[in-house]
Amino acid sequence: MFWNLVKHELKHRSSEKDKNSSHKRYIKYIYLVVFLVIAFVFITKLALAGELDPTQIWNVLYGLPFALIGISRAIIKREQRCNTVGWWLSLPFRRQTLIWAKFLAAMWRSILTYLIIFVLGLVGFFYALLIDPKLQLHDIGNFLLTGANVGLIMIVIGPLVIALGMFIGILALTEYRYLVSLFWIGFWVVWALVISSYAEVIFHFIKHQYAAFPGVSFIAWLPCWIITYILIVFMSVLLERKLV
Amino acid sequence: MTNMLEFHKVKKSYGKRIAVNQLDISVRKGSCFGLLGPNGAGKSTMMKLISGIIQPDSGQIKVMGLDMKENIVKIQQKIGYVPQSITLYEELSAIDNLRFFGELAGVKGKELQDRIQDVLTKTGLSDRGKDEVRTYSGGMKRRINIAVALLHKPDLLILDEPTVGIDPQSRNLIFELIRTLHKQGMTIIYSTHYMEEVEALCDEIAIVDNGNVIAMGELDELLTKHTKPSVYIESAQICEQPKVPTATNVIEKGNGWVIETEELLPTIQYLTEIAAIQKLDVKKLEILHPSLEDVFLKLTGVSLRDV
Repeated sequence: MFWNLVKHELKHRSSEKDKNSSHKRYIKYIYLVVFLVIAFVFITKLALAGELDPTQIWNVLYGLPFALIGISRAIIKREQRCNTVGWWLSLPFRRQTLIWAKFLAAMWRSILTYLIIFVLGLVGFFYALLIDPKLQLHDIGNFLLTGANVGLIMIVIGPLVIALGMFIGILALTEYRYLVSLFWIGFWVVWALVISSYAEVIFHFIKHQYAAFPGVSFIAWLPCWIITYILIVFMSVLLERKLV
Repeated sequence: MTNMLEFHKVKKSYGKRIAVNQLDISVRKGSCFGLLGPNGAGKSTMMKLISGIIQPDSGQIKVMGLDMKENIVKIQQKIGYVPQSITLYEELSAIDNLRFFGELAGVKGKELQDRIQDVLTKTGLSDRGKDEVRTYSGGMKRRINIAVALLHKPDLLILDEPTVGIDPQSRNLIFELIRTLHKQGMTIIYSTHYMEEVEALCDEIAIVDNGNVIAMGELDELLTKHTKPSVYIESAQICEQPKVPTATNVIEKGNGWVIETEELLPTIQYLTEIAAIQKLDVKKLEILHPSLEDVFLKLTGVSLRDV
């Protein structure tokens, strides 16, 4: 029965509002096309000038934490959008089970998103290989390793980011919904500080040194998953006691 | 066990606003219980408490003798909840929707197939079962939503304003279905702000206002307790409040007068005699049958339709 619940979360359930609004249905595809066109232009320009470092393609993965927050928040938000919060919570499962089902569905979607980016990155690499005379096939090893490193980091911190996104979604359903805007302000401030101060350090670490210290991921893995678990328990308590 | 549902001093607040205040309710097993009240009266909060969606701040809720806090999953397995909004996959057929939600409720295989056919027949949609839900009217979707709630044969069916925005045909079919389920012994809790629906379907009624149950009981009991029979007289020549010896109260209504009385026939007789003696041109002289609207008006001072 639990897997039926996960399956339920993975099914697309659009609201009447969305169905009546055709531009909303297609907007994500428009964003994707715009993104691909921009990426294509950049790769072409840099490759023709012989200035392309293919590992820079993975810079796009900086956006992944935002995508994960968006995916996980959306999986809660859709209950609100479809007016089904009450129905969802009347399902004969413990609150924590309901949240775990959504968490796993969000994890699955996040892995798919990463894999799609990974494949698109590979396509970008092979395209650059065709037009950049300096680029060699054996560069693919370093390229793949950098992409995989980021993947490994996502496995470590992904669950925490997803739980955080879900937490924001659930907070909006409770008496503490006024804290949501405060969270976003804090989130953007922290993110801006990190990027402005440490972006190069982080990317240098990912690209050159991370592979040499895979143990780092194992050290980070445990606290991340423990915090994720605590957040999920906390979410279920919020849903039990503070739902509006 | 005679009570399906019991509320003991249940209180629920949202911040400083008290949504439900020290509520005591008991719903008999097998009854069709109507929760009637204007929007914002606290009906939705009560429905959420009954279906285990929210927990009370204080007090105790028991369903089938089980404490809600300790047995929430067990209780929810025995409840069929029909929310106000439609919760179906538009791109799937009704049968596929029922199969999916049936599996979520733990019904499988042949038993599930049989139940799907059964609920489709009950909701009058067996000939449309293979069609995608998006091709259905609002009323048909609502009926499938009810069918979903019936799949696991619940002991308690909770319907939250199930007739809002649907066509008269679907409304009648839903009424028929509720009557059939009630006759079969299912306990039903029906929330609405339409008093006609409660009068037509429910054998027990709770009138809710400002988070309190202001009256509860069987329809006749409520009418007898909170209203008095009355006579309405309309004549252009009666400009001042008429003096009727048998009247307990006289109220101006529209172009005429409502005369509340314990003695209907003597009052009519008196009015007829007066009209004959004074040669009044009487446009209307009729007995008014009290309704829940009158009960609400009596208890709150405002009309249910005006709130």
